[in-house]
Amino acid sequence: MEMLRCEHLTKTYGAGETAVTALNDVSFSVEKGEFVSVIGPSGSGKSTLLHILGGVDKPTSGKVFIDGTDMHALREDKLAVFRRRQIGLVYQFYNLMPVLNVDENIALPHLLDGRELDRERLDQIVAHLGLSDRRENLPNQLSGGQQQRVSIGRALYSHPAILLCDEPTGNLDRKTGEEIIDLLKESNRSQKQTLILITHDEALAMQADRMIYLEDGRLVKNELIRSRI
Amino acid sequence: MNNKKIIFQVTRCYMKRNPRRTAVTFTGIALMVMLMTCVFVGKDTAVHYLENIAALKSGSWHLTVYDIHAEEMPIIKGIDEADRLGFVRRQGFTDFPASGSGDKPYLEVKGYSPAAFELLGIHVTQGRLPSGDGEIVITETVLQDGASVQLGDVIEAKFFDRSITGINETLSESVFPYYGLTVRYGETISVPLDFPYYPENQDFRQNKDYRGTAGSYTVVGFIAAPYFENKGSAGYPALTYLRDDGTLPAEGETWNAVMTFRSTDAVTPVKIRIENKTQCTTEVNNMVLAFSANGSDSVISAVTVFIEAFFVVLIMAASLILIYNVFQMSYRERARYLGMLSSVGATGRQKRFSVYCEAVSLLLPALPVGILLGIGVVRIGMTMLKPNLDKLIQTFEVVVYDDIPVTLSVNAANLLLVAVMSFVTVMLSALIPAIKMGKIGPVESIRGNEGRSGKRCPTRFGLLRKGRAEALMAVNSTSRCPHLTRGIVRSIAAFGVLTAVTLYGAQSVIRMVNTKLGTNEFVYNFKGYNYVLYGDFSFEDLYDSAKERIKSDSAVTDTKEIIDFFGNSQMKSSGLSDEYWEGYEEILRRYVPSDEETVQETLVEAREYPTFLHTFCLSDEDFKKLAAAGDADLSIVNDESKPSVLLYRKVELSTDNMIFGSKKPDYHFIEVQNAFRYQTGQNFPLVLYQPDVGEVDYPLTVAGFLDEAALAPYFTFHGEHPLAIINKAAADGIMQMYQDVDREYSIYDKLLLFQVKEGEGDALLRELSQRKEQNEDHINVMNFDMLNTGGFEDAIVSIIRILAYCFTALIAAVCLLNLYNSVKGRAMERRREMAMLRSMGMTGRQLYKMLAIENALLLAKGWCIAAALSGGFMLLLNRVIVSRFGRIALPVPYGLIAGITVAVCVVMALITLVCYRFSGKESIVEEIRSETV
Repeated sequence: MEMLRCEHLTKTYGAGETAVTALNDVSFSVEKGEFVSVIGPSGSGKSTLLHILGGVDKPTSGKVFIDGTDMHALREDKLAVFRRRQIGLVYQFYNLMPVLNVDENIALPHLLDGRELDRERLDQIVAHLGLSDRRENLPNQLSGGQQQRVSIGRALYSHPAILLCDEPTGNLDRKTGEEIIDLLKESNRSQKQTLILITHDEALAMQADRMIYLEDGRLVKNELIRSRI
Repeated sequence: MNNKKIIFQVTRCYMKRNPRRTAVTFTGIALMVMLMTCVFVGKDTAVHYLENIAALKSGSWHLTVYDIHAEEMPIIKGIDEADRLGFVRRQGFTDFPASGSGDKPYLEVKGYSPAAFELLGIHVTQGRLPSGDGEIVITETVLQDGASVQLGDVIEAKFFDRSITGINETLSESVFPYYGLTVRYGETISVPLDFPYYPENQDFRQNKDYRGTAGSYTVVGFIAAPYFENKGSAGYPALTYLRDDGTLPAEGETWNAVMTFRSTDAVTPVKIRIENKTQCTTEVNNMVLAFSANGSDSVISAVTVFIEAFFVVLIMAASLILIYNVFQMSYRERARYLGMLSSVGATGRQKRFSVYCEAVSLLLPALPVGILLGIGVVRIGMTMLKPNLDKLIQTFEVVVYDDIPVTLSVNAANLLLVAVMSFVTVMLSALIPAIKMGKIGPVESIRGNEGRSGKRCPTRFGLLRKGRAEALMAVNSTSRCPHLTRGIVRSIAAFGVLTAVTLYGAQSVIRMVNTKLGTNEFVYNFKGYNYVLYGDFSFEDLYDSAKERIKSDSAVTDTKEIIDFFGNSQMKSSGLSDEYWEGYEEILRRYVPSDEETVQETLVEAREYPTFLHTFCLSDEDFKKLAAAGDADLSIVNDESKPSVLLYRKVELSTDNMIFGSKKPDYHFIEVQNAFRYQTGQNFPLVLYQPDVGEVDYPLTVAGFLDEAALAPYFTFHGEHPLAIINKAAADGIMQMYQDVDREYSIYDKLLLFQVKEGEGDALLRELSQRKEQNEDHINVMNFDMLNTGGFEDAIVSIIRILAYCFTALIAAVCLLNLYNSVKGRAMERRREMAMLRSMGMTGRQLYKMLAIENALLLAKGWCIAAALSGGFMLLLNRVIVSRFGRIALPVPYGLIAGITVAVCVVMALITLVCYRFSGKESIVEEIRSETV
């Protein structure tokens, strides 16, 4: 079942002679529960693609359908609601709310959606992320790996259909990075969440079901590595 | 390149890289300079303008020296500090056969030197001023009174002084209480210049004591009535030319001198010097000098200095907070680059230098910009205010012959002061941020952890509930990120404190000045009437007839009658409260501070005799309305058949309205909050004087008491004698007592206020005017506004009121800007945070809800601080004023403060909307990547 489809995505920054095309006519689709890695050199348009898929940036042209909804045709507030229900974003630089502690950061998107807090699930996630003794800490009191775990916890807590991760291990040491990837893979497996992961690391990319290779904003390779069926 | 140069280069580089932050800081400093300029240039400009207005009253002179003998002239002429010096020579009275008034058969002639014409504000309405011997100008009042004199006429003058001689053998003495004169049979005494002309009578004779001087004068002009013209005097003012060529007063003659000084600071020293070296007396022109705090009235001078200091301190405080906030706004980014400098070896001192360096490099270009802006604001402000001020002056019947221009008072000293004050303010503002920056370590700066505690923050599970996401964010944002919210709380508190204290200060100053200078003991506040018919007891029939005529006229839509018993009504002194007597004694002791015997004697005497009581009667309908608004027993009020009285609690005692001797002490004022000893329902004996009988008591029942607010629709009262309003039954009873009394006495006056339809009633008004003329002014009809026409001082008070409120508005504007800057600064620092929230799915509505909750929390915090601080400051201000000025009630303007509170809430909401506005076109990604201010 198709979960995500993008059609002829193009993103151009600037205009005229200084125009830079970050994405150039990119089209692909992702099945529900699939783990897709996006790989490519710096400046190839990976992050731009992820941001457009996550609805936090708009394409210059082209469309993104998530579960059949043309995401960028939605108005700002509808898009915000759609985003918090369907998409979990994990950034390279965590982007945690500096004034909220671990518990509050994880629960915030869920509460924003007007849903009641599931205390038990919160406890489970915090324990699962290994943050039980850091629950009352603000982000600036956590290490990079801990912050990234909070960021993943935040993305997982509200059961989004798609998890978009922008180089989640880029700032972490190898061991912590592996732990983070394990967490994401486990969530992908157990929750049947679609996972799209951007990385520089080819070895990491190879752990995905499918690998998309971008170069100069173009999709140059869309390779199935393993089939889940 | 030395160390400082490197730091300077780096600082400059960051200032260029962050033009928005640099622009905000620059704007803050430029605005501060502008405000300083507004204060110093504005103050001087306003003072200059007010001095020009004040000069309308009695001229622009600073000091007058009276009775200068020939031998004293060199001392006067040798006063180096004086920049203009004019002389006045009194030549005496001369007959004026052309006079059109039987009461004014003389000219009172004075010789003026050219400077004296200018300094004493002599204004020619026809012809020109005398420019040589044998020329004279006369007051234009002679023409209004029908004198047969015109330009070119020659007046032959034989000068004399006036005296009177008692000629009635049977009369022991003739007393002229107003002039303080008593003449006995056979005695001859000199009379003052304003002594009236009396027709020939059996009691005394008026003498002309010829001086032996004479002259022939050609009338070359007519002048507007000079300030010293007295309508009751026997002579019209006339001025001749006095040569200023070294001529000295003749033997036995004295002249007067008027002078101005280059610096008004010289007035008091010169005055003392003259009084020590000569026998002359002096007078300081307080109206003109009051504004530069050099008048002889210490209270007015103190008030002026106080106003200046108060407003300068406030503007400095507002500016300090404004600039400090601007520096604090960019704290994190600055900390980051200074941290980087620190990591490559910059010392704390070098980091502090960086902050000072930025402050000074922004102050230098901000100075000329701010000064020019300030001058522009003063110029525009005064130009905008001027038509209103001119109009205002005219409403107080001050005659303005020429346009009084608004001249900007810009001088080097002022500008230097602005520069110095601005420098001090900027350095003080930068001091704390610089010290903090100097202490930040490199690692925490670069990581962005500077100033953050390592304390854990317990999860607020109470807010982790459905529908409380916005509250969760708002509460945590305001409590866990104090470095971002402190500036806003400070701005709100500053807004509250500065505007409330300025408002309180402005109102207190206005109240002080009004109390000191205001001339109206009574103001009639009755609304909806445009004319007044006035008649006294002696000619009550004329009044009654005119009243009937008015009431029957179709053009008259409404009438209201007031009966005024003042002059004849008194109350028992024993009915006055202890508070009143304490105040009375306090004022008395100011006159005789060390004479206990006189104090006790005067007190005993004062308590023995009845005291005057302002007694008015209004209609029963108004009486009931007054009672309802005050604190009254309505059962007494509603019994219209029973004579009852409402007592106004307050009286105002001061060294101005209570005189106990000729040597006046420094001004002191006491507001007695409750002047009466009576209780509601008690008997109040009104003491009335009945010819041939003496004092009789007229019993009234105290229906209740009135305060300022209750009285306000009818009167504003500032008298030293208590005020009572009686009902119709009481007034009828009193009038009944006087039915058969000889009408030559003054028992009561009646005023009929009436409303004439616009464009109608000409015939009625014409007829009333004729009746007035036919009956020698024994009844009078006038515009209602004339009832409240204040004096010149009231015009000044009103101008000060306008200026004080303008200043309050200016302070409010600075505070507003400060608040805007703080909110804007926080919004800019939170761009990333806002983008993150939006990326997490926060809708616009949720975002605004969060901001609204944050605002409510910040406002609550800010107002709590503001309430505590402004309460303290107001109390302090109150204590200072009361200790210097006297016991005066300076009510806190709660209504206005409530208004400011609401305004701040609305303004804060609007600023937040502006600062956090989203067009929907912003890229969340770009915002997340963005740096702070």
